[in-house]
Amino acid sequence: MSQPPPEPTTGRLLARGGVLVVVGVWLTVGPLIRGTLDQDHLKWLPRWEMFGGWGRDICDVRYYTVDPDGTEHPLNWVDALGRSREGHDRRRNSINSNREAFRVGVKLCKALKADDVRARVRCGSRTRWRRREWMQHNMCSTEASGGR
Amino acid sequence: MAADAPVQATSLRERVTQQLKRRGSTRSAGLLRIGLAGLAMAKWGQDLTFDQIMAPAWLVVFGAVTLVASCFMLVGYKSRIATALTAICALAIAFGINVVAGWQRGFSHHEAALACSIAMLALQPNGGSYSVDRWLVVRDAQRNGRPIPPEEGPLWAWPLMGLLVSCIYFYGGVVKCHWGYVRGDRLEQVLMSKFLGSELPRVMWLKAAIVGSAVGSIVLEFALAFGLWFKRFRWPLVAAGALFHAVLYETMTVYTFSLTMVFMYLSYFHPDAVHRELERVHGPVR
Repeated sequence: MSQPPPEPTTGRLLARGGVLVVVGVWLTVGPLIRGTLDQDHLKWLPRWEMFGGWGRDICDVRYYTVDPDGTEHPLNWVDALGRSREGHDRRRNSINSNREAFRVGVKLCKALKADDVRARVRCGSRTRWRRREWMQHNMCSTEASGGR
Repeated sequence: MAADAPVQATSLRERVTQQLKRRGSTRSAGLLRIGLAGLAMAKWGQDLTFDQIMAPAWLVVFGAVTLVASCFMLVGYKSRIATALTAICALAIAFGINVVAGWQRGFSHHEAALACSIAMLALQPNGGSYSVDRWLVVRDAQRNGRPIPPEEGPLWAWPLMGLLVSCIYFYGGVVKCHWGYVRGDRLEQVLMSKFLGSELPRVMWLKAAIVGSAVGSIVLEFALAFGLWFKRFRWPLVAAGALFHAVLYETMTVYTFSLTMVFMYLSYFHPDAVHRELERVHGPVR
């Protein structure tokens, strides 16, 4: 039989205890301070927010043509602009800002020869959808075509 | 593996002392060393080669040190030093060198998870099994007519491995606990940026699936954070967690994150129990 290992000294045990406490506190309290209490400048602390940055720049956009009496007709803007939905093309149909939504709206006016195209636009953020445009502006007017 | 035989401790002081003197099998740490070294090489290897970083000189040296250390860690030669060096390099990459070196890579929680896992492994006796170090020890003992030493080492820091994984799940769950996530806003955004573009289909089943996934992911993360510590829930949660990470791996570009987390589940199992199970499944030589 091989010799049993020697008993660790008191100093060694204290050092082990110290490492356990320090690393344990760094692991458990670090994300609380940096993440939950929003102290992101403390870069040496861990912070666990998986996928937190993903999708913040995408906008959910729905276009409508509007009759003079106010009746709304939903538009299929991807088809109207002759874009593809095949494979990766679908992901390329991304609108990433309110300004871009207006640019696409102006293109729709020209493509459809419409007089009144409006949109409901909400864009991503760290926590939820945020409304950017909600049918207020006619994108076919000269004022809107200047971009927002 | 009698060294880890539990002696019933009564007072807190005795329990703490027992934990600090704890010894046990090194096979779990050995397996994790191989797995995490492979993931480290896969994650950072291609960014640290000479052709990728021609300058500045210190970064070239840093890249070479990281690659050599992770190679030594993988094969288990001078394992403790190699793992510690790899951990230092990994923590530097995850927590700061991106900014210093001007790499066009933001802070990645997936990189940080891998770096912290390697750092926790550096505190374990990870070269005692499945390593060149072990092979040298056995060869030396046989040459000198000494008994082959058992595959065991000090496991006082072993709970930190599980603590890290639990913290990742717990704080991952905490950050999702807001109305925008529960009603599916955040998952819709991720789904659209990854797959759908700016056209979100207005169908009931998709909304229901998104809300179900949002609530389910929060529940699962808290269940994994706490439940993996309990033997009764461990296997079902390991299965659920592995499935969860498989879905993430298949649908998102998380690269090494899924495997890092699944490998780290090993840290919740008692190292001696893992050793005995491996002993049972290892077959004899014909």
